[in-house]
Amino acid sequence: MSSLIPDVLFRDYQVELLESYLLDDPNVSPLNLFIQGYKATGKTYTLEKYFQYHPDDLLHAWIKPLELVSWKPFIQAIARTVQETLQTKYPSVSNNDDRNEKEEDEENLKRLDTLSVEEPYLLMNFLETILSKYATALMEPRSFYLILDGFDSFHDLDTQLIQTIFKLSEILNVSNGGQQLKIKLKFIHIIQDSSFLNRYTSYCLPTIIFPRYNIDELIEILIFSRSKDLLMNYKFTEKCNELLIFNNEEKLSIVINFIQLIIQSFNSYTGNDIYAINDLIDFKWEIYVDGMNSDNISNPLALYKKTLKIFTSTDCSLVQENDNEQQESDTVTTTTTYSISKMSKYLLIAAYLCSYLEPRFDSFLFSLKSELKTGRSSTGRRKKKDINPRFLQASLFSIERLLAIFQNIYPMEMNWKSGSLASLGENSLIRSNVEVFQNLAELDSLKLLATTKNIDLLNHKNKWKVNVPWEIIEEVAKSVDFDINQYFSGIHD
Amino acid sequence: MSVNAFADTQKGFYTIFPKIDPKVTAQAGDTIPFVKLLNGHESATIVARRWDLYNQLHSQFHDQVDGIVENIENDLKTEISNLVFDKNTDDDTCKRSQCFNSVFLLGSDSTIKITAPPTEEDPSVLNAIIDMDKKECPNVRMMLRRAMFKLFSIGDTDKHKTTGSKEDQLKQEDKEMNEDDGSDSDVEDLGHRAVDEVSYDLSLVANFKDIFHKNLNLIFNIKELESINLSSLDSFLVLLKSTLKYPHVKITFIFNISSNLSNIEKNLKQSTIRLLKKKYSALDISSNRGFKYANRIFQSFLDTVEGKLNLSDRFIKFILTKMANNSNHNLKLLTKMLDYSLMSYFYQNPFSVFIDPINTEFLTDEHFKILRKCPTFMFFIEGLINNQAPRSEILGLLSNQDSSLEEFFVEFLVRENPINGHVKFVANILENELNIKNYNLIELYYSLLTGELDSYLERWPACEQFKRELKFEPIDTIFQELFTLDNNNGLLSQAIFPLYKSNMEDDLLLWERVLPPPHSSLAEGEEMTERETIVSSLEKLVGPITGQLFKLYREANSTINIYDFYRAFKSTMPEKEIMDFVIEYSKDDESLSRFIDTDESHLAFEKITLILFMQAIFDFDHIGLIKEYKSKNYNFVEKCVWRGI
Repeated sequence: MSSLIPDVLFRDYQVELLESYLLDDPNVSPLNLFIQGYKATGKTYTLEKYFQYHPDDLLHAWIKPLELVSWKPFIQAIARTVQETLQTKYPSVSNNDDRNEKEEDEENLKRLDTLSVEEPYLLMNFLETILSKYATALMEPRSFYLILDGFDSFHDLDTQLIQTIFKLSEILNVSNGGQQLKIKLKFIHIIQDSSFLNRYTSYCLPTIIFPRYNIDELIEILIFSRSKDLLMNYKFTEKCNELLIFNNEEKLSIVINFIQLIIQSFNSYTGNDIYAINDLIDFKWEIYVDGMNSDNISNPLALYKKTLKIFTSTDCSLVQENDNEQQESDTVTTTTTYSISKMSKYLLIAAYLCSYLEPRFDSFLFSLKSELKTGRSSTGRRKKKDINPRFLQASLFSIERLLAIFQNIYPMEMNWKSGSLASLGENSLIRSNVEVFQNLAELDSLKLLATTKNIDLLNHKNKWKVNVPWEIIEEVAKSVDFDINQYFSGIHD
Repeated sequence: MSVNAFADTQKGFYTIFPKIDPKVTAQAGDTIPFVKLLNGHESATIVARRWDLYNQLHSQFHDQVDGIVENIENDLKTEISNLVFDKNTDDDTCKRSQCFNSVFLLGSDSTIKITAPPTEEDPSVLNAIIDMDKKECPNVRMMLRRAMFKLFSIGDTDKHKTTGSKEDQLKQEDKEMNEDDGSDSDVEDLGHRAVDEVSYDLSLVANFKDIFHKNLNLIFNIKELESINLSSLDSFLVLLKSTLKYPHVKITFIFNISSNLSNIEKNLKQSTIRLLKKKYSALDISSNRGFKYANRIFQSFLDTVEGKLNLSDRFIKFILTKMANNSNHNLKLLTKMLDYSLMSYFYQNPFSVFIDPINTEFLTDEHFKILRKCPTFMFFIEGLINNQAPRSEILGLLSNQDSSLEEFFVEFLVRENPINGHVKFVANILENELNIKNYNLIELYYSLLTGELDSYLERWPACEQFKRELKFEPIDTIFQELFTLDNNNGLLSQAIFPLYKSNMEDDLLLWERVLPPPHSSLAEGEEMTERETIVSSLEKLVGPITGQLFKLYREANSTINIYDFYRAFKSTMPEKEIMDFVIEYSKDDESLSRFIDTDESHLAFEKITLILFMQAIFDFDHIGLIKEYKSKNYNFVEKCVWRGI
């Protein structure tokens, strides 16, 4: 596969466009160029390579708005980057200038402090001062390309910012009190979101669109970019030596086969996101290598069968599987999955019931007296709820209700048979002692329970609510063998 | 009004510290809090001995516990710094794939201080540890600024330190550097410039090498991960990802997680998780996970009493359930329970003094009376009779002729409790022979006591091969009940885990239990004055008003009409006794007499009950028994507390 720039695949059309837009002669290249393409479409990479291999050695600098978070550091970064890049490019000019500067007045020095650039207006002044220094030193006018990589990744992006930049480049390039600036500042904006561009359709912005790669291209790119890396992997080379494979062709075919397997297995999950696939390749390559032996190394199908496990799940979880196994053996004793005690778990379940069940169902669900459980008096109006309460926000409840439900659902161990004399002395229900409140406090500090007032937990005006979703509660309930589903059946459709 | 007093009035709650008279405490320190046992027949020396022995054992136990707890921290610190500052990990892979080194501390309460290894080890690297808590992480911008500010100040102090100590050396180095970097002096120049005008963004990390001439090992210690907005943390991680391309930067994240990993995972982006997963380690530091430390504390307790004391199965069971209920601080809890049981044992058992066999000289007839009643001893005698032992021997033991019972008792004193030995034996096999570390010594002890060792060991199939060695005959030691720590009448559960809420309610209902009986000061036979008779007759009928009202409160519905409540309250008040009491006291108090005289008597009574009622209602409000009903409706109050919950 031949391409216009080395190492850049499938982007010939875009490179041609770049070539016609980005020129050293400032008079024929646009002030602002947009490059739009979704994640992992090779925008940054192509541009980097373009500047690297361009014969004219274009003046350029990179700025990543993502790292700068908001606009103020951003304009400071513009000032700083322009200054630094020009200084490294033309050390003679800046050195001369430094010498002169020492003699100049203080005010001028102040204007060259990048930290003082706090507003677009100051930025313009600053750039003018900087660029005018090079006006005399240079023979030909040049373009200076400032690449704003990921312009739409600001955390406080607003519609004004880009217009400020448009204006800035216009003003800088038009005039400077009769003196023509030799270095023309041009901006290249790399953005992901096409809707961002739609807002500025009336500006007629030159835009290069980077489409997504299709799967064949993806495979080729990955083979091109990763195979060397995987071949050099320490484990793989060791394994190959062990299995007496020294033929590079053979090694390469193993690697290519692996990459294809990964893409085919996970394409539905990752889409054509190269970053995600790269990560998966990183995670799984060594496990794949471990699965190799003398029987299956030359037989891709056998190898796939042996290592099938790694292609069935993405393993994008920090909880390792062997962790789970160990925990399962631990559950026999006391502590379990959530590393909170049994009592805390029941309290959490009770809190969930409080938050997601209406109080009018309480007597129906929890009362031990049969006369309260039946009839309309127990549930009020019979109409079932249209919406599953679980989909709604957790409602607030008072702590007494929590304790009452907790008392109802907490299983007490009976040491004596019921009916025996000794069993009369035992409490069949849990009474809230210090332990219960300790566990409540723990749940609160784990933020599994939330309160309306943070300062005074003891205040009776304080209301509580549960702060965990259904999935976690289900997990917790399962770990103590508590069927929480039965409480939610029959009260909604 | 002073500023502090004003600030105090604005508080929602107060903490009150009781003032203790230093004289009183000094006096109390002189006397021994133990009382004479054996119906008060115990001699003062024995009480003193008992007290001394208890203190000796207590401090011995606590010395060991302190040592163990200290060790936990040291162990942890070394373990963490091994993960964080590991030199051996293959830096190449980390660099190539550009990833953070992430360490998850599970079950952490974020109090662990992470300290960097001394800088002398590798002078080319600066270890910058940056603590981040939730206040510093409201959004990405603040996080970045705070982090960079801290990084700069760490770098700055470090620089000053080195310049202070090795100024000349550094100057020389600087010169050399200048000479070396002669070709690209502008970079150097840039570095110097940046020191003066640093902006707190990622350019600081990027130019770190130029500014401080050191490689950077940046360590973020993120505290209380649960309370931090995870989406901003997510973007912060993405942000820092771009610094990984610099060869002089190494970034480590330490996440303090108090719940569990999957909980955190659900709130982060998949790509971020993949980024973290490339090089991560999870360390469970909650001291309860794994029974290592609890085992050590329990073992040290068994050692403390030199294996003489038994622990009853009831007591062990109690410890086990309570420890299971408290997952985070159960080492403290264990120590507390053992402590308390030891104290209560020494407090109430007259035989406790004989744990030190020297004290057997103090054996008295009172002791022998109890010895004879011991079930194990009676069982032993029964065995002797069944075996047709010589009559004189049995009689001698029973009547302590020629002090034969004393000798018999002393003989048993010097013996060690076999169970403790067995526990050690089993633990030794598990740990050294089978390399099993996650056993629970307390549970092991329990299963030995109840004779269910086999079922406990079933979870480790490897134990099969030692089955014969691990077979123990159940042993009954004579007089063991005298040397057993027990939780018989629920003393421990009431003292360490009080039902304070129901206790308060009980006290309100049955005030006789907590308040001194009326006129206890009156000596017998003394005549009561007229006033005293009136007061006592009232006291017999009416208790504290809050208690009186609480009785009614119990019977009320969840919303209480204030007027009805008042009517009910009034009807329970004895009119005659109260009026007698008021009239009696109005003789001394002019304003009170005016209050009665001006009104008709039944109106006066109504007013008095109303006053009492109002006081009690306000008390209820402050105790938290009632609250306003849906605000703005003053006819009703809502009940907050139900008994028995």
